[in-house]
Amino acid sequence: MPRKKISITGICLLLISLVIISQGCQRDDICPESTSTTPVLNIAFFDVIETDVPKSPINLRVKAVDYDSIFVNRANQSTISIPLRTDVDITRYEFTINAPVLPAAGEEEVPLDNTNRDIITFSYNANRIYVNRACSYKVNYMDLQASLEAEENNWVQLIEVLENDIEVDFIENEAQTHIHIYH
Amino acid sequence: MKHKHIFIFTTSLLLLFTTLLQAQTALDTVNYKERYGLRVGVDLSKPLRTFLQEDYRGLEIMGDYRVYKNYYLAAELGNEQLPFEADNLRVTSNGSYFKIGADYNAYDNWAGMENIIFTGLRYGFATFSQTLEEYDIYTRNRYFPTHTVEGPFENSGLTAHWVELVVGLKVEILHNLYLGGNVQLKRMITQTSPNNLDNLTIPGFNRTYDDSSIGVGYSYNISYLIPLYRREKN
Repeated sequence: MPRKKISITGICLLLISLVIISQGCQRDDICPESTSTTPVLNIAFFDVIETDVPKSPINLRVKAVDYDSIFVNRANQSTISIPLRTDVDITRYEFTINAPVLPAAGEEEVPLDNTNRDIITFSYNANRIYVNRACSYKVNYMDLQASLEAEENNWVQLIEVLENDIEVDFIENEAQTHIHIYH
Repeated sequence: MKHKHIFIFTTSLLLLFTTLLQAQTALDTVNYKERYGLRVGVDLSKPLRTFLQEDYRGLEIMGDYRVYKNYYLAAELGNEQLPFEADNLRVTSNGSYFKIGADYNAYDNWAGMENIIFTGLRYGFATFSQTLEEYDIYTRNRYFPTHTVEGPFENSGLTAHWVELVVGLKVEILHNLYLGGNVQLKRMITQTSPNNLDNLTIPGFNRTYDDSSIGVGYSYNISYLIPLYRREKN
């Protein structure tokens, strides 16, 4: 009889500890890096004449229209990845070449002689997709369109949309290019 | 954190019961007849949690019927509103559940006592709705401010089926009045999930885990034995 009592107490303790372990070890509240979430838009810049030659815009500034903060300033690279808005189906960006250095606090910014700002409007359908309880929802951008706001002196010559649907944020560590900009 | 406190409380309660059990003195009679009957009760942890935790609401009634010697037919019926909050989303499930199964008493009582230390199995079924209260669109890039979508978006007509392993005890504290406690290990069989969302909590099953079908639960309860007949213990 005492043996029976011991065994049942054992089962009790085992189950209690099992419950505590399962509660303590589950870490599904942090969204892991390996999980695909909302993708960014990958842009590659090319020469307008020799269209297969990558060409970096000189001192490129990227900033969303109506947003104060600058995404990147005076970048010299032939590819760039920018986020798109998830709350509306349109994102407008200013792409400025030969951008000036950011002025010190309180000072007015003086554009350079060759500073040239073009505005590109990206429109799409933002589809919300459930990922998991830690990563919540992501947005996939479907039917992407890009249009250049025409003005007297555009530095951007041509925009080519390669991928209409932006669904993954990375492919085997290699960024997939969605848009080519020729200049 | 609150959950953990409730857990420690439950565990200590279980230990207390075990002590109570051992402290009881036996009636010195030969050929004592044991009471058979229906034991009906109510879960105490759910009203307490209703009081302590905002957004939670729950009630559960239970019963067991001693069929033969150490075997009991057992069932629970309950209703719960179970919230779940993560960093980027908040949901609430709301619905009713029913569990039916059997308990096996492994405790050899002294004469005059009908305490049980039991292991049991249950089949559980729930019908519920899950409401997405609000969520953030997850972006790794923080250039644009976080986009929060405000609900509520209700998904109704959901169901779940699961099995449970229960271990617990019921101790007579006053004549025919029992205090009990148990822990439950659950495994999901099937469930209907809402479109573009998962069931994050299920009434009767508690919270789910993203990559496992296991669930856990506990109960402490008070019940009353309605004696129907006596049968000789052999």
